[in-house]
Amino acid sequence: MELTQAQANYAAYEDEHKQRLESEHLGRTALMHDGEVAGIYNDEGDAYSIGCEKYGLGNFSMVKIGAKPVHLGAFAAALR
Amino acid sequence: MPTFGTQVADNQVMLVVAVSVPSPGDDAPKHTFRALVDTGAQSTLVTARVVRQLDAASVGMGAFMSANGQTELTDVFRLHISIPIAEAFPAPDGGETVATFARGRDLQTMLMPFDPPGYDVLLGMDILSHFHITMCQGLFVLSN
Repeated sequence: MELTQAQANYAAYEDEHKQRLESEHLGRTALMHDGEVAGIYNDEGDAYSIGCEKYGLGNFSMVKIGAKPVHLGAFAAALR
Repeated sequence: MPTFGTQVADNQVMLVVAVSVPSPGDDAPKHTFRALVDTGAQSTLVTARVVRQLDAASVGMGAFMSANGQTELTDVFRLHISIPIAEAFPAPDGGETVATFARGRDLQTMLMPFDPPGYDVLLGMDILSHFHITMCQGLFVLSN
């Protein structure tokens, strides 16, 4: 099955960019397109606006650099 | 202070929220969905039904901790979620008129890894923390 832009970018981030970006840009947002880092932004809203403008929605993704897995709470866990 | 109040029913707080895909002109169609308030969730989540109705596109992958402690991935969508807040305005006769407005924010929402009964949005702390919330005597009050 073909990966979506978000899935492919996430895999590229984990394999190729994560270590460098976490040491240099922790807490910022990476705008990604076709597996490459297209920009680093302080605000995820800025990354979203620029991604929409340059590539169109669905053709880019964003990664919060250094983000930890979130907890969905006991209620959500009970429904799974 | 603009407020919105609803009864706590069966020890749950359900709201109706308006959801849209953020756009430069803020002219994207808004759809309404039932939402559960969950202060135990760090992130706001939406069902696949919300994604389909809005024709939203994934803007990334997000990691969450599953019930068994494993990390799992799910799609992330940037959505504008609005919660109703009533606000009083001066009326022409000198009195007061109350209109209900939706106060909301753009935020990264995760796709629910399950299909819950009775609601399509789970409001997490990423949006709730921007409001003043009071619960007392079976009443849930949200203020801006």
